[in-house]
Amino acid sequence: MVAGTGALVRSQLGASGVGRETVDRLARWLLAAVAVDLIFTRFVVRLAIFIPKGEPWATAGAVLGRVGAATDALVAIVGLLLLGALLVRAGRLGRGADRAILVALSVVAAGGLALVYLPPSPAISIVLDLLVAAVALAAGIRVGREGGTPVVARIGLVSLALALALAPLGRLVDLAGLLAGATDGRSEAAAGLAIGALGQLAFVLGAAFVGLGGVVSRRPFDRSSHRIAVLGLVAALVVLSAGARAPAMWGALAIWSVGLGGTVPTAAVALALGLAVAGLPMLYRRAPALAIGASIVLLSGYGLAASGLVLAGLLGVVLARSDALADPVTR
Amino acid sequence: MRDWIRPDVRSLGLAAVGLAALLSLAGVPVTSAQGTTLFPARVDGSLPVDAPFDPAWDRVRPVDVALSGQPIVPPMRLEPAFPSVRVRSLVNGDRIAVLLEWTDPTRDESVLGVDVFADAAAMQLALGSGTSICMGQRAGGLNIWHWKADWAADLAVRQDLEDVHPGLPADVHFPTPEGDDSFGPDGFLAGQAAGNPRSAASLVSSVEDLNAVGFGTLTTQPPEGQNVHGASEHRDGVWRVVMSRALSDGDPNDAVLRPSGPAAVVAFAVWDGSRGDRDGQKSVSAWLALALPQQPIGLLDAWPVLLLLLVGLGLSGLVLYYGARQPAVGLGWPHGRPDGGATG
Repeated sequence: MVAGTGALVRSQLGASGVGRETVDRLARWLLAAVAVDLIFTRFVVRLAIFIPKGEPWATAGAVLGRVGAATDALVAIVGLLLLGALLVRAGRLGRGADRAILVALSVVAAGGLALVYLPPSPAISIVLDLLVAAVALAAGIRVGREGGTPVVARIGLVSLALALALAPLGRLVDLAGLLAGATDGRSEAAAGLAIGALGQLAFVLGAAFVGLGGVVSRRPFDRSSHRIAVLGLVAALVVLSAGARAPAMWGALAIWSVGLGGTVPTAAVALALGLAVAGLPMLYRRAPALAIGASIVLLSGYGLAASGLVLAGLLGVVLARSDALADPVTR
Repeated sequence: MRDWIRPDVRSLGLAAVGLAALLSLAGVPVTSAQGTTLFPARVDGSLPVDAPFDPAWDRVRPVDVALSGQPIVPPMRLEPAFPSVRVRSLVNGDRIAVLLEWTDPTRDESVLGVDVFADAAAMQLALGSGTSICMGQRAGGLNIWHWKADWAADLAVRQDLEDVHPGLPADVHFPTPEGDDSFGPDGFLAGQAAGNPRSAASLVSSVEDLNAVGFGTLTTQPPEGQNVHGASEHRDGVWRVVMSRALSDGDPNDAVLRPSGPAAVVAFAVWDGSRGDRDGQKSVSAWLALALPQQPIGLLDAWPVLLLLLVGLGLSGLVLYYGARQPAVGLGWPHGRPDGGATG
């Protein structure tokens, strides 16, 4: 069959295959974009502060900064494209809940763009934070209630969705106090910090459970599984070593890159990272949508302020449903 | 080529990469900060810019901004000297004032010793997008307001080495022609002659207005650009520092603060002189947004944002409707078997 017969094919096919494939590929673009954003914008560009100030290093540092800014924009652009594709597909196939989640996500995306050029107000911030939390929880619950995928990994995804919901809820408590006219703010600030700490815990637990779900689903292990497991072990050891040798530096990098502010001990973060690195490729063979969605959430980070990353993280939870992506094994 | 990278979606992805590159080169941001936001309270009339303990400040809801150490470059501070700094802000039609408050039992106001350092606080404002919280970068610089306790003390009564070390033998001064007093009563002083603001015979403010585009690039603005007013008071073990500036000053080195514009991106730092804090040894915050209200804030006052949210809502409904009307539609039509099979 060739592309030129598209009109005939359109009339003969159901919609699910086409929409799913487009979503599938855009989801992989988004995964690549957040991975590059993590590596460049949130890691390499930050390390560029160590580059000497003289030429040609200064120019190299400036170029790195530009690449980081472009990557930041790329996440938002690909996220918007993917959201459009999901909306088109949901219009044809989706249930009411899917449509409602995506419409709410569209408002979040529009808010992220609007606030680039317009000043926020406490009320608008509360609306947007509530929508972010609602989308994360609703999409997470839908993944959690879905059968057919490893239950441990699903628990992990729900935990990640909970983390995405808790991040804005922490701010929301403070904003609510502002709108209510409270002038002290100490109790709201303390509650916000506690919610933020819970969110970090949920994020790390989510990473660990998603990875563990992948590892458990892969038994018995073959040769490639062993290689991936070694990769996870190396990742965990690198984090452990960095945390032990330079805890302050590691703390700064953890906040900058994935938004973990030190609530969870480094050893637990290392274990979760190791499980995620080892388990997600294994999970991909069994439940590709869940693996790609969880990877996008993890690479987007916890509670990072950039609106593009907020959109990407929420899209990751939406994509984790098994019917969101095409099954690569069938192709 | 892997079969999932089909030409149509690949072209769309490459177009996205190109668009992202163009936007970043043009300095057009597409992402906003959705983290903690400071909302200054709007008042009519003058701001209490010279009275850090004015009751007006206590009617403003503060934001507790968490601080961390600075473990990146020497001199480092691995643990923060203070867990947080409380930030309040007031704005009227033409001026903004920011109050920083933190608990510090020691009042360190002198730098007249080799191992003596003063308390200090700073607020940095991003100039455009693409900056770095670590003193900025060439892709995006910073405007920094740096309050110094020693400058504040000098504004009241200037202290010099002779005051701290009575009987200090005078160093050999650079010889000047007999009768030439153009360098002032102390004769030629290298720091003053070089224009070092720390050596200035007189100060106009306790806050220095600076710019930076990376480590080692911190530069003071020229005297005519020093337009940040400072006031401070240490009472019962608590520092309160007010920094204020006109909202619009036309200085390209200063951050633009527009009530109708997007939120400014800011971060804070505090130094504890008694613990040896100076230079990069400081307690720092993460980025926050500073949103200036055009008028007393309410839901309907933010109508442009509401309008855009409604546009987003309407667009998503239209796309859903479009999808519902199409029997088989995606963004682009994959080559090969649309059921996901290999190209036939």
